[in-house]
Amino acid sequence: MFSEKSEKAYYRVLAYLIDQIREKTIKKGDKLPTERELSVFLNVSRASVREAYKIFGVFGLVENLQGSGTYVREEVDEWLSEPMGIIFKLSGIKMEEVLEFRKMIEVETATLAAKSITESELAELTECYKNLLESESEIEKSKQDKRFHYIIAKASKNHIIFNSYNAMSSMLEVFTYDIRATVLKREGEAVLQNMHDDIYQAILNRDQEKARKSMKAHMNMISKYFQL
Amino acid sequence: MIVKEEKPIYFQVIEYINQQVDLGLLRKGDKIPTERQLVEILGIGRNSIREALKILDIIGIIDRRQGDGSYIREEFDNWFSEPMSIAFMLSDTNKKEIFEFRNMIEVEIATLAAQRITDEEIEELKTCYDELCRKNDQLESTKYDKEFHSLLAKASKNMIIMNAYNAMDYMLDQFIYDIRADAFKHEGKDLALNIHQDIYEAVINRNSKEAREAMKKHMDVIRRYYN
Repeated sequence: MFSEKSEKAYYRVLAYLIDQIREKTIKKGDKLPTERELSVFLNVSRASVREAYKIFGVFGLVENLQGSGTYVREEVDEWLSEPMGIIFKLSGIKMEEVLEFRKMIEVETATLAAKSITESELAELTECYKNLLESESEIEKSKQDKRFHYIIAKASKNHIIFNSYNAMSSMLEVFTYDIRATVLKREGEAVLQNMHDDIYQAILNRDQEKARKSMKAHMNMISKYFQL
Repeated sequence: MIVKEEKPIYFQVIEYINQQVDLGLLRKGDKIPTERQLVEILGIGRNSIREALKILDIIGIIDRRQGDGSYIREEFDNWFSEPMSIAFMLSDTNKKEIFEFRNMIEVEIATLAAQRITDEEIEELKTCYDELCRKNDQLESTKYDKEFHSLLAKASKNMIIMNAYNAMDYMLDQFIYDIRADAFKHEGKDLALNIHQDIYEAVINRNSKEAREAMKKHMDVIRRYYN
């Protein structure tokens, strides 16, 4: 996509930006050069620079701050949301694939989180867990369930895990509800609630072994119903 | 005060496509409404529509054909690895994280690959493995070492794994090179060969249990040298 061999000028702009990001000359929070500066520097039209910035914008990698210019986002946690959602639905990625991947990473992710979670992340997890318990609707509970695992991924302090989790965001949006529905029907709400409680308590107490065990139990229980 | 800009108008087209896909009204390979139809449906200007179609084309959702309108693309297999790799670049990912992640997924990848590898993929893996055995130059070996693992990821038939693996690609060169150099220094040149041989044989014999064990051993070696 970005690395497509093409003479089109915006590909040159994209390639230049990606190089700078790889070299760490452009970092999170940085202001990108103005359209004029970059068009002069790369000898392309201003429209081509605008085009390239727009594409990064669609992916949520940069944002426009009115009257101030284009900035690399500090948090790339909403990146891809819209186009990602479209592609994910078109691509035919199956729930089984998402679960297969989650099963690989979540057990160790919980273990890492129990070790590395910060106070503010703990507060966030506590608030989320409380919402998960108190929400009335399944739609709301699914959102909190998804967020619960997302906070744990963030707390693992592993950028690859966190970014992969982000990339799956739109898939998890859809699947968490479906997974919960299946589990609720087969096991009942108490089982699911206890599992999240075990995970939550383990991480709260920074008990890595318990975090590992309780997440493993959670993943194994889900797998039972999806032929993994 | 800094004000974040509202979503641009052309986003409405992206949202519209999203909706149509949701409803199952647009699928792979389908023709999407023309510029003129979109103007009518969405009530926004033609320039915004053009803008949106151009962006959808660049990011690989549609394919614009001269004089024939725009179609939803047919293939999305490797779609999110590129933007994902930019996200990796923007977060200071270190070697420990690469090891942690590989340690989580590689054993499972080898297990799945042994179960799901096709005959064609076995041929590819064989070619790669032969090259890996033959090369003496460390840069060349690194290249085939990386390819070996990436072929296994592909053979796992899990698109999320494949994309995550490809997104890591740019980090793996240095990572693999350094570990190979260190392991070579401390344990000699046969180590890397033996490790990959065990994995290779288990996978082509479709023995998932042995593939699993062999990959575990491989990860133990990386654990010793990634620092």
